[in-house]
Amino acid sequence: MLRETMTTEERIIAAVKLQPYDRVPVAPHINAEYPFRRKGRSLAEAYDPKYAEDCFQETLALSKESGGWDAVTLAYGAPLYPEALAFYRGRGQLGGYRYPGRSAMISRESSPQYEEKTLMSIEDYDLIIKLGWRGFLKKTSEETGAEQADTNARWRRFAGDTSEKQARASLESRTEIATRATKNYLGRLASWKQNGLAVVAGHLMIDPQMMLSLLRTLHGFTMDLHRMGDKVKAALDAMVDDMTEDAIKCMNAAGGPSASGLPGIMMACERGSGQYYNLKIFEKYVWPYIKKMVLAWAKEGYVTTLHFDTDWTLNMPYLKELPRAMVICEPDSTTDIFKAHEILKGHTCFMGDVPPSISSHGTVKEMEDYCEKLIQVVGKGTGLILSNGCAVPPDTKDENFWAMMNSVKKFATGS
Amino acid sequence: MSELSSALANLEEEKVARIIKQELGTGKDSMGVLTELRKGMDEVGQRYKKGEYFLSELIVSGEIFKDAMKVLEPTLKKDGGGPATKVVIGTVKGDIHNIGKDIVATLLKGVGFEVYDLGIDVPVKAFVDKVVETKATIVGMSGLLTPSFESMKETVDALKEAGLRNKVKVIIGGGVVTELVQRHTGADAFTDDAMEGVEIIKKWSAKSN
Repeated sequence: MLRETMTTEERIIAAVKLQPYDRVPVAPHINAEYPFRRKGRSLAEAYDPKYAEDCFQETLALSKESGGWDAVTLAYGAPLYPEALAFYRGRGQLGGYRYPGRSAMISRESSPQYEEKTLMSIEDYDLIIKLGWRGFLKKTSEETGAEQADTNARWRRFAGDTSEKQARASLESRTEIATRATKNYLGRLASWKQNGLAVVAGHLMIDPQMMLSLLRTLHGFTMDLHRMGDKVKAALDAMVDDMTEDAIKCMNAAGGPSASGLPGIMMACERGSGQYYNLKIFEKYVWPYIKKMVLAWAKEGYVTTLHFDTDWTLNMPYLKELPRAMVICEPDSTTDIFKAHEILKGHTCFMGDVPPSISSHGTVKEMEDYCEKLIQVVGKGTGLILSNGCAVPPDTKDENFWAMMNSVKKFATGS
Repeated sequence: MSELSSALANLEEEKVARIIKQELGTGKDSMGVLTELRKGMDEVGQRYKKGEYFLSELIVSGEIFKDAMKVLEPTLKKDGGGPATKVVIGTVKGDIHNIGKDIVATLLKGVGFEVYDLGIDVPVKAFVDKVVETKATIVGMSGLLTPSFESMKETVDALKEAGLRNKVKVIIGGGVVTELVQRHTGADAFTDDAMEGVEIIKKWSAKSN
C-alpha cells in the first residue's frame, strides 16, 4: 500500500524541481469538454462564457469522482476556457479558431478547430517590423475601431467569424476583458487550491513563429521562409520582446511569481518542430525566440511549460540550453517521450503524454500498460507529471480515464 | 536527371518556371515536361526518405509543382496520357483540418495519381458516391480529432454496405492516428506522415496495375 507523504502541491513542485517525490503526480490536461460530454451536455456549452462556473464545478466533481488529482495544467485556460477565450478574442490574435456554437463551420458537438486561412498579408510583415508586435496589434485594433472599419481589410481578418458589431464591442472593452480575466483567474486559482489541487500554469500563449504560421497559414508561411526569409526573421525579431513582456505583465498583474515559480507560463509550440522544418530553419526562425522567452521568464521566476504538439524528438537536445528545473516539457504523444527523457533526464521535467487514441478508443489494459511504462521509465524517482498528450479528448472512455488517474498509485515509484 | 527535374528537386522556383517556359516555347510536348516534373517530385520523396528533406520541403516542392501545373494543364488534355490510378481523398465529417490532406493530395498528383479531393468535413455518403462515380480504387481519409475516428469507421462501413470494400484500399491519416485507430476503423493502413502515406498508396497502385 502506497504511503503518501507529500501534499499535491509539494509533489508537483518536486517533479518540476527534479527533487524526489513520494509518487508520480497526475495532472490531466483537461478542459470542460470531457466533463460536459459525459454528462450529456454539448461542447458548445463548454465554450460558452455563461457556463464558466459549471465548467469549473463539473471538472472539480470529476476530479473527486475519479480518485483525486494532484493538479490542473492550466488555471483558467482549462477548464475555464470561456474567460480565456474572451481574453484572447478580445486581443484579436487567433482569428482562425472556430468554436462550437459560435461558428457554422463546425458542429455544436465538436472541439474547437483551426481554419487554415490567410489572416495576415505579406505587407503586414513590414508593419510588424516597423511597429513591433504590440504596435501592430494596437494599430490594427485602432483601425478596426475607427470609422474606416467597414472598409478596412484588417478588420475582417481579425474579426474571424464574429459579427462586425460584436467584434467592435469586444475591441472597445479590451481593458475591461483583461481585467475581468485576471480577476477570474485569481478566483479560480484560489478555488483550485481550496479543493486541494495545484495549478501548473496560469498564462497561455503561443510562440512567435507559430503565431506567424497561423496568421499566414502553414503553406503561406513556409513559402515566405523560402522566398523572403530575411523579412520573416526581421518580423520575428520585432515580435519577441513584446510577446515576452506581455506574458510577464499578465502574470505580474495576477500577483507575480511564487517561490516555486508555479503557476508558470504555458507556451504552445506546434509548427516549428522537426516534423516540419530542418534544424537549420529551426535554429534560425524558431529556437532563438523560444529560448529568449523562456530565459526571460525564468529570470522573473516563472517556470515555463512548453506544450509541444507534433513531433519534436529531433529538437529535444536544444532544451538543454534552458535552465535546469525551470521548464516542463509537455509532448503530445507524437514526440518520442522515452527518447526525449534519455536526452533530458536530470535536466527537465516531463508532463504527458498518454496518447489521445488510448483515452478514446483503447482498453483499460492498454491504458495501464502505457501509464506503467511512463511511470517506471520517465517518472522513476522524479521528473514526471502524468498527463495527457495534448489534452483529454471529449470522447474519452470513463474506465480509461479512471485507469489513468489511478495508475500513479497502482504503479507507484517514489524515491 | 534532367535540368528541370533537378531544379524542382532543389526547390528552385524561378528556374523551374523559366525552363518550363523555354521547353514549351520550343515545342516540347507538355506530357514530356510533366514527366520531368514527376521525376523531380520523386527525387524530393527520396530525399525526404533519407532525412535530407522535411515536411517544409514537401510543401515548397508541392507549391512549385502546383504552379507548374497551372501552366501545363491547358495543354495536357490534348496531349493525352495513360490511365492513372484514381484516389478519393478528404477530411472526414466533423473535421475541418486540411493541412495533412492537402499535402498528400498535392504529392499524389505530383507522382501521377488522379486525385479527387473532396475537401473538409466530408459526409460519409460523399466518399461512397465519389468512389462509385470515379471507380477509384483507393480512398484516403484524414482527421485530427479523436471523434473523427468514428467518421472514418462509418465511411469504411458504408463502403462495405455499398459492396465496394473489396474493390478499394483505405488509408487513414492524421496527427494522432495509430494502429489502434486503424483496427477500430477497419482501414487497410494508417500513417501520421504524408510521404509515408504516398509510398503506401504507390505500392498498392503498383500491385493492382
